[in-house]
Amino acid sequence: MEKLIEIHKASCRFDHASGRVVHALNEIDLTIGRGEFVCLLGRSGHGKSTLLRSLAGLNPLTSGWIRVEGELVAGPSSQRGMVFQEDTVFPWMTVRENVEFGLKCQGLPAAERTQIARRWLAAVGLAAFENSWPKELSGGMRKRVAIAAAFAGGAPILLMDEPFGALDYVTRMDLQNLLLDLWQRTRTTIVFVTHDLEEALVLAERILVFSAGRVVEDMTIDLARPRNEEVRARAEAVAITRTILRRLEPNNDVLRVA
Amino acid sequence: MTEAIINARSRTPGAAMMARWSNRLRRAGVGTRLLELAGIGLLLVIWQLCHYFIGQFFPAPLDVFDNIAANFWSSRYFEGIGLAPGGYADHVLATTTTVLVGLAIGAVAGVAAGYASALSSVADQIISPLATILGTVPILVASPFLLIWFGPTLVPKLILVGFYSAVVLHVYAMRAVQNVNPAYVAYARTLGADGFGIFREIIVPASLPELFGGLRTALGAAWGFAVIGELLGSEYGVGRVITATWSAYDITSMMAGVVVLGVVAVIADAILAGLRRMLTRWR
Repeated sequence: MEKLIEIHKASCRFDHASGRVVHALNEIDLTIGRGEFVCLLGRSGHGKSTLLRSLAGLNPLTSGWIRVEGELVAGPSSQRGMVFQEDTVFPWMTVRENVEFGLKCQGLPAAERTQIARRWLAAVGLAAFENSWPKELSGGMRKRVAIAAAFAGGAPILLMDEPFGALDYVTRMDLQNLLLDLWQRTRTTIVFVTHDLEEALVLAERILVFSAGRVVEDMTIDLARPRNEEVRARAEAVAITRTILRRLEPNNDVLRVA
Repeated sequence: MTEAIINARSRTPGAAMMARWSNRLRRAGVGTRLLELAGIGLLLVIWQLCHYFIGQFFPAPLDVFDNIAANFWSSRYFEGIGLAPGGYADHVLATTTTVLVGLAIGAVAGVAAGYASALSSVADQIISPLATILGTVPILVASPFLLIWFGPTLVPKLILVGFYSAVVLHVYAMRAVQNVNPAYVAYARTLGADGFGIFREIIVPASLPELFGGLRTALGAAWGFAVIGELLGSEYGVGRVITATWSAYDITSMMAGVVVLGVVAVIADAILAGLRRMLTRWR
């Protein structure tokens, strides 16, 4: 597979005012291929979101580097779209204006923007809501807007930071299926942070298990699709789950306070 | 409706009766407008009662309204007590002009300073001490100086109003920008927005609701500052009417001036609220 993202000895430490030093990323070496769906899995505070934000260019590394298509990541770029856990849909823009915003930043003419935005709103099932204000939509629908905006920008890489974390179980399943559908149609590379093992098993082709700022397990997930919420019951999945849980055991939680 | 009934049961008998009645009124098509009018009616009743108990030093509402009607467009009486030609209309127009122009100048300066303070630490280090000093010294103590320097012109009043508006809006604008959810900015950056794009498309609309809060505060106080400026020396203005009729011991005209000003201030506030609803209908 063609290399798309290369991460070399990426480290990130935060020096807190209290004098505490946290090694959020600890010399991570990693490559991600074009078209992969990678889940970064781990407990809270073990570096997966830090890595994602560094990939986005929102969080500078202390040392090491990240290259995307051979180019060093130095800041945010429309080549790497992001979906956040927070509701980031702009409330002062209509649904369609939200989806168009990234295209506007890229300098596309209005007519073309509208056409692309309409196509993606239809793809996420919100065609009828293009002129609605975000306040008129439910949380799940606003997440659909964020997904439509991310795909509409045409970035070859989409970074997702626990995007469905705040949603109810059923809505979350709907959105997982939607995301898989869009991924299979576009083959966009997706790096998806989650702490939910089932979510990772449903979505990922590859799971990277994070602990104490390191990747402690790199697993290819070749469970047959479609996978649903019962995926965890499959024999292969049970084996994967067992490996992952062993990696996440409390006694593997290395003391990260220097 | 069911909600009201459930609430009515859970509260005291008095509250239950109120809820039942407000429900009945609403069903009968009695809107909030009518309740607002009832509030004004209540005010007039209290006013009349004050007149009844206090006497001639607290003129009755009808006498005040007669006075306004008789002297609204022009007034020989006003000229007789040494005021410039014209009625309440001319004076309230002068005060309104002072308020609107002063507020506009102050708001632009204050918002610009507030945005600069919030977005640049260098700007903040320059502006914040100034704003603190100017904001803590009561602006009214500056008025004698302003009168000495500029005389009874529009300038000292504009400075009073503009200055206060700028100090208020500096604080509101700075806080509004600081309160913008950083996730919006991060998200916009991943979509490829640059510095000015983020300012125009994210910071400005996101801070708008709070700016309107500041504008409303400043507008409310601006009438007071304008009138005080006029009390100290002016040719036209409600403050000038009040000083002139005060020396004539004409309490009815003094109150009439206050009523005319109050009505205009309420209208201005309503227009501002309408403007806010129009510009932030996404909320």
